Amino acid sequence: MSYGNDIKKLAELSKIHFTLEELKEMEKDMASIMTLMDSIKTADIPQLQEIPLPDGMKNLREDAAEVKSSPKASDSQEEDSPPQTFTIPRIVE
Amino acid sequence: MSIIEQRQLLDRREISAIELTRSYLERIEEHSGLEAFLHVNNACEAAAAKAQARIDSGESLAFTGIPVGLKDNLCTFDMPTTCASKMLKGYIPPYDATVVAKLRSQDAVFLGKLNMDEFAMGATTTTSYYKKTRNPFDPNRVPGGSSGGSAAAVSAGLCSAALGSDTGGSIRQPASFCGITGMRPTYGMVSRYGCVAFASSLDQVGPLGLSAKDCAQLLAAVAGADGHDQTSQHSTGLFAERSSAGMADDFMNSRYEQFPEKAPEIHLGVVKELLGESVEPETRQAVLNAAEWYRNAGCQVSEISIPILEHAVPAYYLISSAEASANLSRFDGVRYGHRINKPSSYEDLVEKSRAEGFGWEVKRRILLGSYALCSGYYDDYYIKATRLANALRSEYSRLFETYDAILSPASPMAAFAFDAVPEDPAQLYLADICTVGAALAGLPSLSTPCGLTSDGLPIGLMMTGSRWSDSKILCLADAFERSFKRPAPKINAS
Repeated sequence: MSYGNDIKKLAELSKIHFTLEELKEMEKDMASIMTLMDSIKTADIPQLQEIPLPDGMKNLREDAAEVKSSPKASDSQEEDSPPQTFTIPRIVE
Repeated sequence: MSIIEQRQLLDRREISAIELTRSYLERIEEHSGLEAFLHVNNACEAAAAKAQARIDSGESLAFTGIPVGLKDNLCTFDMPTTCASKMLKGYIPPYDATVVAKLRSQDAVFLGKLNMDEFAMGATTTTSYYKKTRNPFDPNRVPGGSSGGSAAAVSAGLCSAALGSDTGGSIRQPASFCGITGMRPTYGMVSRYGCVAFASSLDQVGPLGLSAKDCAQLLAAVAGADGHDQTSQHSTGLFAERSSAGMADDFMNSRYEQFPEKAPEIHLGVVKELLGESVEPETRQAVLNAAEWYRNAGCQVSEISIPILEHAVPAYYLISSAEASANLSRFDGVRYGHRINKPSSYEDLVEKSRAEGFGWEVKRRILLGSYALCSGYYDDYYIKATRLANALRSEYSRLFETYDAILSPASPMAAFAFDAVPEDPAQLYLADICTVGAALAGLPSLSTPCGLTSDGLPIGLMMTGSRWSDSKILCLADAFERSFKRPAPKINAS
C-alpha cells in the first residue's frame, strides 16, 4: 500500500504544513509505522466479536477540514452584539 | 535519604527546610550536565521559608518542606509549563494542576520543572525541544521517557521525589532505566486536571521516588477524586478514606507489610510473552531472579500467558495517537502557543504555526491519529484497537481472580546509548511492549530495581495489580526492596 496521497490528505486534516521533502520523509516513517499498525488486523481473538460497538460510534461525520467560524462571520456577529461579546443562536426554548 | 527520614529531620529541627532546599539546589547546580531540569524555581527558597514557618508552628504535613520536582506537563501558575515543546515556549498557565495544588497546600517545595519528551510522546526524552537529559548511570545513555527528567533527577538526588505522567509506560520505563521506583496508579486514582492532555483515556499522573515507600507517600498526597476531572474517583482500596498523613498507616497495616508470614497467601504470575527472545538475556534473568526471591519468601509463583499482548503495541499507538490528534488540535497559534509572523490567511496561520511549533515525533503521532480516525480506516484501526483494549481488560480481570500481581520486565532492555536510538520509529514503539498492556487496561503498575547489567545499568522489575490494588503492589515492591540494595548511579555527568 502506498501512503503518499494519504500523507498529503492527513497533513491537511491535521492542519500541519509540510514541505515536499518533509512529506517524503514522513511517508517513509509512516510506511514503517503502518506496517506495525497493520499487524492489529491479524488479531483474531474470540472476545473481539463479543464486544459491541458503542452507539455513538456508528454515525460519523465525513472527514473534511473546514473553517467553522471565519473572521468575516465573527465581524458580522459583532455588529449586533455589545462590545466584547458574541451573539449565539438560541437553541433551547 | 527517604521522604520519611527527611520529614523526621525537619520535624525534629535537625535541619531546616531552607537548608534542605539549598542542599538540593547545590546538587542541581553541581550536576547541571545531566540536563534534568528545564526550569529551576527561583522562588523555592521563599517557599522553603514558608514551609519552615509551618513546621515551627507544629502544623507540618507529610510534604511540608520536602523538595519535589514536577514534570513539565503539569500546570504551575508560577513557573513555565512547556511540555518540552517549542509550541508552549514561555507559557505560564493561569492555574495549578490539582496534583500541584495538593502539594502546594502542604507547603511542599517545588524545585522546578523537569525535562520530558515533547508532549510526553517518546521513550528517550530526546524529543524534547530544549535539551537531552542524560542517564545518571551513564551520561552517554538515555534516561528513558517520557518522564526522563523526573527519573534522572530522583536517581541523581536532585529532588526528594518527583511527579511524572504515564500514558503507555512513561513513568515505569524511565524509572527502570534510572534505577528508581516509579508508579502508574490505577486510572482515576489521581486527577488529570492541569496535566496537559496527550491521550485522555490513558494519561495518569504518578510518583517517582527512591523507594516504594517514597512513592506511596507521594501518591497518598496527590490521590483522590477531583471535581475538575470526572474520571477521577475515590479509591475503594486501602487508600480510601485516608488523609495524606494517614497513608503511611495504610501502608504499614496492609497484610502485605506482614510479608514473611502472609507470603503463602500471595499468588504471583510471571508473563511468558514478556520474557521471550526480544528481551535481553540479562534483563530476563534479573526478573526471573526476582520471581525466585518471591518464591523463596513463600509466595506461589507461576508462569502465565497473555497471548493478546502481541497486539498491545499497535492498539496502544492507535488509541493514544487518535486521542492526541484531537487533544493537540487546540494548539493552533490562536488560542495557545507558538504563532508565526504575518500569516497570509487563517489556514496559513494555523498550518504553519503547528508546523513550526511541533517537533517531528508529535507530527508523526498526530498524522497517525488522524489516519486511525479516517472514515475509510476507522473500523480497521481505531475500532479494532478499542475492542482489543476491552479484550485485554477482560483477560487481566480473569487473571486477577487468581493472582495478586503480575511480574515482568519494565523494558525489554536496559538504557541504550544516544547513538543507538533506533531510526525506525516502529522499532522504538515495539520497545513499549512491557508497559502498554497495563496502561490500556487502566491498571496500577510500578517498576522497581531488580538487578544490574554487566555494564552496570539498572534493570526494572514491573509489578502490575488489579484496579485499586495500588497499595498491594507498593507493599509487595517494598518487601523486595528491603532485600535488594538499590543501585547507586555514578552521576559523572556534571
